[in-house]
Amino acid sequence: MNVRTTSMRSCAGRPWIVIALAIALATLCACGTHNDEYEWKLPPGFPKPAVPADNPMTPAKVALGRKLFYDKRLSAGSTQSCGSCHQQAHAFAENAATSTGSTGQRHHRNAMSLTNAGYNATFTWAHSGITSIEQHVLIPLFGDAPIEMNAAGHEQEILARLAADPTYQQAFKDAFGRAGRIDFDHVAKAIASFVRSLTSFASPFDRYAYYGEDAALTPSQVRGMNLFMSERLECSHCHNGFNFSQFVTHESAASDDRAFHNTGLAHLEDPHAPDFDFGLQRVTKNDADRYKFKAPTLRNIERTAPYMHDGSMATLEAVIDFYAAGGRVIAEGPFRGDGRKNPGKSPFIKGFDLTAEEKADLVNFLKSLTDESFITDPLLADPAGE
Amino acid sequence: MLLVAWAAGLSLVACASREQPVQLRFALRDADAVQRLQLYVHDVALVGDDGAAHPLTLVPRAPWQSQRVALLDFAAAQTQRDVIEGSAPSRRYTGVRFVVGVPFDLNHGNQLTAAAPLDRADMFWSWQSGYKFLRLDLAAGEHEAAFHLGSTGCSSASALRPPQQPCAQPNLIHVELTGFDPLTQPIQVRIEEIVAALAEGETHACTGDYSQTACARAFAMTGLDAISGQCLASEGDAGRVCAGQRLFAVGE
Repeated sequence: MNVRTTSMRSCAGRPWIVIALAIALATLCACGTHNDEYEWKLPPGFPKPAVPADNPMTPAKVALGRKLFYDKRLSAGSTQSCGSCHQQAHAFAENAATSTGSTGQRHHRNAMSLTNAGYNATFTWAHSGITSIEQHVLIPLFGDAPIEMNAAGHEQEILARLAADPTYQQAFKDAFGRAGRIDFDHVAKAIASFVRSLTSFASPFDRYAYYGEDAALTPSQVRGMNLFMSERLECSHCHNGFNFSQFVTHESAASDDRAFHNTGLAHLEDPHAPDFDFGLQRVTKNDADRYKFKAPTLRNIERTAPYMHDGSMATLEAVIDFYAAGGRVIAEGPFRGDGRKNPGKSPFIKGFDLTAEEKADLVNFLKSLTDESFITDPLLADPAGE
Repeated sequence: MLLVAWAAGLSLVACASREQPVQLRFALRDADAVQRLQLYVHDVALVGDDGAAHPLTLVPRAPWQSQRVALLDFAAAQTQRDVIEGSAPSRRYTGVRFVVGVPFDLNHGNQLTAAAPLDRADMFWSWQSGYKFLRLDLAAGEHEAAFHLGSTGCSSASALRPPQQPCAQPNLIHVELTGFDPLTQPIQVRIEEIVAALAEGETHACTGDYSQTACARAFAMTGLDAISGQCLASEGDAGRVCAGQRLFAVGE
């Protein structure tokens, strides 16, 4: 009543008020429905990533997650954020063989690309039990073997830093309602929502495959694609589907949760050599899972070098040579042995011969999976400067 | 109405007279090398002089214990928590039983919303899905060493579902100590053999893989079988007690 009289005094005429009220009402309605709906950036007809029922996607949550993803205050020493190892320029991977945590501890694995991570059926290089981003986020935050962000034991300190920042007070309310508590459950849910929003489907390959643009790929890339899909090379047995990974799930898919592979990267002569990374077996304790890792997405693969779980291959050419040889021979050191003769090796890693031109075609095709707009999208970058 | 109230009051009085508060004390020997030692304990019972096990009803006491799980915390600087508080029927006791670890149904929930004492992030074992049941970190010479124990081989069909089957290696240490008065005598926590094993070994971190020689030697202290994650050479308590465990003892 008060508002209305004031308005009447300051603005002459009843019709104006009616229009203003109508606009206000319309805006309110929009807030309640349309604006809360997250709009996925997907080619027409593409399935959306599966979203946990208790963490629906909203623009506010994605925005908060983005801010948190890039905030170094989330590590105990305020030295490292998620974005320190998952760098946009490298398709949210890192140009280092293995990553280094915030306290200087060396990780034993290569930082994975977060390209289309929302479609992953499992997370990390080799884990059958981590099947949501929400669950995965705990590892970099609280893990101690190795220590990554070192949040364990510093929870209250870190939450207090966030609570002292008025922009976070508002952002948590926007994302999680008026209660909007600043706690790690909300931190994990927001970061997971941002990571789930990292969809990448605007590569030359996508324009060729899903938008019918014949000119999007060069003749060499088309030849490389045909090789990639061929029974001769068998690449697409494991790197298949729209995300070039067997590990795909989405809103209406049942995933193959046993799709981990032994690619013949090693075959230890001394199976008790200390500190060897046996992959999935570390988690399942099943010896049949030794040497098994998942086939990650090949999207943006050009930018995620170096390759393999241990970052041991510097170039795509080296990776192709490895598959052409049907495995890797480690000549000396504690992990020596002939990976080609690993008895658990996938039957699809049988080796092949390629001409120099064919190899160049294959590399060119892999480069057609690079989505420049994803790597340069300012909306996915650190919002601190905005 | 009156009669019911009277009866209820009477039974309360009767209960109160039959229950006594109990503080189970733990004492860490050889604490100098320890940076931190934290462990979860559940299913605590006192063994009466009649030979029967009488469950200890835990008193919820955040941040250290809920009705089902208690956390013990020995840190280098000072011991944070060396007692389990509860109540048990008034009688004479000559022993104690407890399980080191987190009950299966609590081990795989959402850790970020879990109530104390399961809200301790330094006990999250995220890559193994679950909690560390026992976390021993040592500052041993130039090498930091660690022995972390929890359930391993836990695969769930989906993140939205906790594992439906117990993990491949539950690694719950069922302890039984007898021949002492648990109401007055502390339970000794002995880690010197683990310290020695880790100091000698080529690997100083046993965090889920206990196959290396040093880790296997440290693991043997738990009385668990590394393959099955069950108690080796069990006796008593329906065959579930880790008779070979050497982490806990009574007396000197």
